[in-house]
Amino acid sequence: MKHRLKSLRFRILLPVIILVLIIITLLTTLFSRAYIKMIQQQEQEVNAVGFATVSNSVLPLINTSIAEVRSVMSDDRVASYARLRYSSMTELVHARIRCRDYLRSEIMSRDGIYGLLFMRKDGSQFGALPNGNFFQDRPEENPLPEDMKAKILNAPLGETVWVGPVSGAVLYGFESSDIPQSIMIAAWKSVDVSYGECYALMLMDESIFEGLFASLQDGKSSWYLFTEDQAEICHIGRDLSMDPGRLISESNSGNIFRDDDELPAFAYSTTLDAPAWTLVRKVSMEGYDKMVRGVTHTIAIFGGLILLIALVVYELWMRRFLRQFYSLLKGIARMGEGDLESAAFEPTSIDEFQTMQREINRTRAALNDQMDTIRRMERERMEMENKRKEQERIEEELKMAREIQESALPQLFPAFPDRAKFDLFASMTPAKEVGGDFYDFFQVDSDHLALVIADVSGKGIPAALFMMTSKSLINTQLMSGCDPATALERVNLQLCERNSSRMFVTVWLAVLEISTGRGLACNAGHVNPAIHRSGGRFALEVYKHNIFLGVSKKAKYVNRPFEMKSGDSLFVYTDGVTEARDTDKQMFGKERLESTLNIDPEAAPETLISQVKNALTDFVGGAEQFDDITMLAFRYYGDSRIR
Amino acid sequence: MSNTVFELNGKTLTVKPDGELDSVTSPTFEKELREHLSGADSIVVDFEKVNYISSAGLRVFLAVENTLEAHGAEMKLIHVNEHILEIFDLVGFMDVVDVE
Repeated sequence: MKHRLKSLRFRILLPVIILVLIIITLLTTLFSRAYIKMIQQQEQEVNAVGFATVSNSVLPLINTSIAEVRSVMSDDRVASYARLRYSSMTELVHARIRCRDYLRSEIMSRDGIYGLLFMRKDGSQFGALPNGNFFQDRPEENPLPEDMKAKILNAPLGETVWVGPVSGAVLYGFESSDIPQSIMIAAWKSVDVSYGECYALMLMDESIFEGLFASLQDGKSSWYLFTEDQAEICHIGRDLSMDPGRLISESNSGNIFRDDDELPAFAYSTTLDAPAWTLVRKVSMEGYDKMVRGVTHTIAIFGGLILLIALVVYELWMRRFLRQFYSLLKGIARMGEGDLESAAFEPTSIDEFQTMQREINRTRAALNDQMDTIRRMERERMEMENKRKEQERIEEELKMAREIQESALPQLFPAFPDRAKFDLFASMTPAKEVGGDFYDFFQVDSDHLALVIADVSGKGIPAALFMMTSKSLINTQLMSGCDPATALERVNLQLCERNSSRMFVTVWLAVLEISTGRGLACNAGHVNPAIHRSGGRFALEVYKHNIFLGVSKKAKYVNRPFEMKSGDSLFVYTDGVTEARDTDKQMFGKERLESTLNIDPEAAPETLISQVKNALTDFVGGAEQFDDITMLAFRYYGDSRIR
Repeated sequence: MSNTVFELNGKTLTVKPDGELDSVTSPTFEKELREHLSGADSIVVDFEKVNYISSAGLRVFLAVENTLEAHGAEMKLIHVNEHILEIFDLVGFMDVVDVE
C-alpha cells in the first residue's frame, strides 16, 4: 500500500485530523472555561461573603467616626471660636489659646484627626495645627483648590460635606514629614453673628479610615475607598494600579479583569449612603494565569491523546477497509483477466462493499452466462463450419466418384463405327448424389456383343464402389466366355461372398450374336426391357426374372433366348426413368415411357434416348432428380443397312 | 415404418408391416425387425397391409433370410396381395424366400 497524498487514506485522514483538532479545541475551550468559571465562582462566592461581612461592619464604623467627629465639631465652643472677633488683641490671644487647648485635648488627640480650622466666606482661614500652632491666613493665601472651596461654601446649613482628598503639602504650603500626604476634609457651615456665615473644617488623614479596616488585610485583597468623584480616600494593601472608574465599573460584574500591571483580578464594591463614597475590594488572582495554563496543558495533552487514539483507530479501520477494498479490486481484476469462476470474496462488514460484492457477483454470473453462450455459439459455429467443410469434402469426393464412375462407362459414340449391322446409344444422367447405375457394352469376340444395364441399391460412394466391382466382375465373367446366366450366377456368389454392406444390384444382361441377331438374355431383378419389332410399337416385355445379385447365395439364374430381326429395337433403362417424379410426386411410369418411345419407334438409338430425356425433363418440371437416369437403346439392322 | 406391429408368441414372431416398403421406409423397418429377431426361430411376416414394395424392401427380406438361415431359423411371408405377388414372381423373389 503506497502512501500517496491523493490516496483515499489521506483524503480521509485530512478531514479526520481537522475534525479531531476542532473537537479538541472546542473541548479545551469549553472545558477550561467551565473549569475556570467554576474555580472563579468558588473564589468569588467565598470572597463575596467575606466582602459583605466586611462592608457591613466597616460602613457603620466609618459613619460612627464621622458622627463622632461631627458631634465634636458641633460643640458650641468650636462655634464660639469660629465667631471670635478680633476686638482686642488680649482677648484674641486668650481665645486662641483656649481654642488650641480645646482642639488639642478634645479633637486632635483622636486618631486620624489632624487638625481643625475655620474658613470665612471670603476665604480667609484660621485654626490650629497638630503641633499646636495657631494660624490665620488672608483670603488670597487660602491654598484650597477652588472647586473644594466652592463645595464648602455651598454646603447647606447644618450639613456635613466631605472634601478631598487634598495634598497636605498643598493645604499647608510646604512639605514636611509631619504633614500627611493626603487629607480629607469634613466641613459644615455655622453662623457667626458678627461675620455672618463661617465654616468649620476638620482635617483628617487616611489613618482614620485605615484603622477601620486594618483587620481586613488578608494578603490577597486590597481595599479602596473612593469619594463620589472617584478620588481615592485611602487604601489598604497594594496601591491602585488602574483607573478607579474602570475598577468600579468592573467590580461586582463577576469578570476577571487586568490592571495596568496586567495582573488578573476581580472586585466587589459597595456605595455608602452619605457621603456617597464607594468601598472597593479588589482580589488579585496571582495563580490564575498559571492555573489557566495548567488546565490548558492538561486538556491539550488529553486532546493529543484523543488525536493519537483517533489516528490509531483510523489506521486500523483504514487497513481493514483497504484490505476489503483491495480484495474487491482483486476480484474485479480477476474478472478483467477473464477468470469468471473465482471463489467468493472475502466476507465484508461494510454495507456498501456487500452491495458491491453482490453486484460484482451478479455481473460475474451474467458475464459467465454470456461467455457460456458465446462459447456455445462458437462451438456450434465451429461444428457447423466443420460440418460444412465435411459436406464440401464429401461433395467434392462424390463429384470425383461420379466422374470416375462416368468415365468407367463407355462414352464414345458411335461406339462401333465400322459395324453396320447395329447401332447403339447409351446415357447416364447421374442424380445430385452419386448413385450406382451403370450401363456397359463390349464385344466379347468379333461376333458377340454384350449389353449390360444395372442398378445398384443405395447411393453414395458405397454404391459407386459396388457398381464398379459389379461392372468389372460381369465384364470378367463374360469375357471368359460364360453365358449370361452362368456369368450372373458367379457374379452373385462373388458379391454375396464379400458383401458386408448388404448392397445389391439389379442387372439386365444380354449377349448377342451380331451376325445372326440371336442371343441370350438374363434378368436379375431388373426392370423389364422394351422391345420394338420392325413395323410395330415399343412394348415392355414382361417375364419372370431372377433375383438381384448380392443377397442370396441360393439364387439361380436362367438364360432367356431372343432374336433380333432387321429393324428391331431394344430399350433398356433403370427405374430412375419410370420412377422419376414431378413436383406433385407423380411418377413418370411405364405408360408414359412406352408412349414416348412410340412417338417414333423407328428412330435411331440416340434420337430415342434424347426423346425420352426431353419427355422426362418436361414431366419433372422443377422437381429434383432423385435417382440416376440410365438408358441404353439398341437397334439391329442386320443386313438391311449398307455402310 | 413406425406402425409395424411385432408380436412374439413363444418362438414365433409375427410381423405386420403397414403401408409401403420402399427405399425410404425400408432401412427403419429392417432395423426394427432385426431388433425383434432374437429368441425367435420362426418369423411370420403378414403382408396384409403392405400395398407396395420396392427392391429395397425386397432386399430387407433377402438379407434377413440370410441371417436367419445362418441361425437355423425360418421366415415365411403370408397374406401377400396379388400385385406384390406379381412383383415377387417377376424378380424371382420366391426362389429364395418362402411365400405362402
